Amino acid sequence: MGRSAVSRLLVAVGALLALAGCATVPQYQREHLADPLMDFERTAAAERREMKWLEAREGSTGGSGGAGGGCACN
Amino acid sequence: MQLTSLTSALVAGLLAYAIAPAIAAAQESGLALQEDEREGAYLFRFFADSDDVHVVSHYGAWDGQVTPAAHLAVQWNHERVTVPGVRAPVGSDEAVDAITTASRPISQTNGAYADYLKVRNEATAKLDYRRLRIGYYLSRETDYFAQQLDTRFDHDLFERSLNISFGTSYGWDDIAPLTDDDTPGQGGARRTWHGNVTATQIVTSTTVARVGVELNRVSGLQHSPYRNVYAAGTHAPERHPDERLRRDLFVRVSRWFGNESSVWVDYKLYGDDWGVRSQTAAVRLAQRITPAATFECRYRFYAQESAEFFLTEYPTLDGVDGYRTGDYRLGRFDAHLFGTRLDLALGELIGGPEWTHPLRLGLGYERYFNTNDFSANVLETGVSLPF
Repeated sequence: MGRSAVSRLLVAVGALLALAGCATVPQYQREHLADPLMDFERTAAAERREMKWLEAREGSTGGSGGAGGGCACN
Repeated sequence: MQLTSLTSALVAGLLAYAIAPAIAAAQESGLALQEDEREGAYLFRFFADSDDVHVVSHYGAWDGQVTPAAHLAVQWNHERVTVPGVRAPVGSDEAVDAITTASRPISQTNGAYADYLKVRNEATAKLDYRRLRIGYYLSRETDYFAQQLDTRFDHDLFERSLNISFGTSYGWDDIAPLTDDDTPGQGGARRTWHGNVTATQIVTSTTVARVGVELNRVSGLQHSPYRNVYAAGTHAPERHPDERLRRDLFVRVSRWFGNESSVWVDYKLYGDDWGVRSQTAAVRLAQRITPAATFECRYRFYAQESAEFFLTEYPTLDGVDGYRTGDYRLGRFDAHLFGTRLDLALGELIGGPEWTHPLRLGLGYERYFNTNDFSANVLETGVSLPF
């Protein structure tokens, strides 16, 4: 992994950890986050299909989350 | 070919080994598949572009709990790609396949001036066991055979406010071009290693953010074995570097609004060691119209810079540093995509028997166009039924 990629990763994770340290949203306030309209995984399959034909027309790849992560709201 | 069979057998063995504990656990606990947590789906997709390439896809999917801790998902896809006859000098963009990026062969035996039909079959299996996922992907065409193994692990932190996911995959492709009259059509192999780290954070009670980085290392044949390039007043086979390191950083923010709607904003920054740089920005609005109907619309903007060895015409056969490309995807261009989608809880709307109530119908349309005078229409419809 290149040094710049590592730097970006550290900045990204650091920013999120910093946000996490500010406040934790209680479980009982996560009702809307659990709604299907907020679920990143809801569109994951469609995004993979779309990425397949977009990669055939564009020079870049990725961005749909790769192996992805949980929605952190269940 | 023997090596391919060997790797397939090895992969099947690894999958069986991985799935066995989950099946055994189900048997030990006396659990069968849990009847209320299974879903089957079928999806039809039609793609038509301004080069008269047509793609018809039939997707099938099944997923369900194998044990309380294990979830299995299986998908398959049968695709028929029709590439029109060549209308311009061979090696031009007209022959480029819309889906697989492999060009059609140009030969008298393949009827260069007639439509060319390519069939692709693919299958995917994924098993989630607690926080670990493993998957296997297989795709076969007449001149292309691809396989991939992937895995990921994710973990919740800070009272499940933050989720960190690590994913990796390894893909190996075998390329065996068909007879082609105007290029050597030499085959080869391609290997792709992928790694990613993704963090998903609850920011407020209505906002979630996701940040991730991805790294891909691709080795082996990366140009079209069918494509020629105009160089030094003649045609020469395309030639790309054998190594490519691809990186991207992406961010997604999702926000809930009180009127039963959500907005997603996406941004991606991409770069590779061929010199291609790109940025992607997208916004998606989803609105629940009624409890049984959801409407979505979205817009995506894409802009990229060209690869260091990309030229529209090469003055010498050596190209740039020995490389030549006729692939417009390595050039500079912008692209736009507009999409709409309607999801209906069909069973509830039509008031049929109770078993039809979970039946869902999806209808989607996308319009794509770029500054290379290329445009495409994508229609998608599908049904899913939990049972």
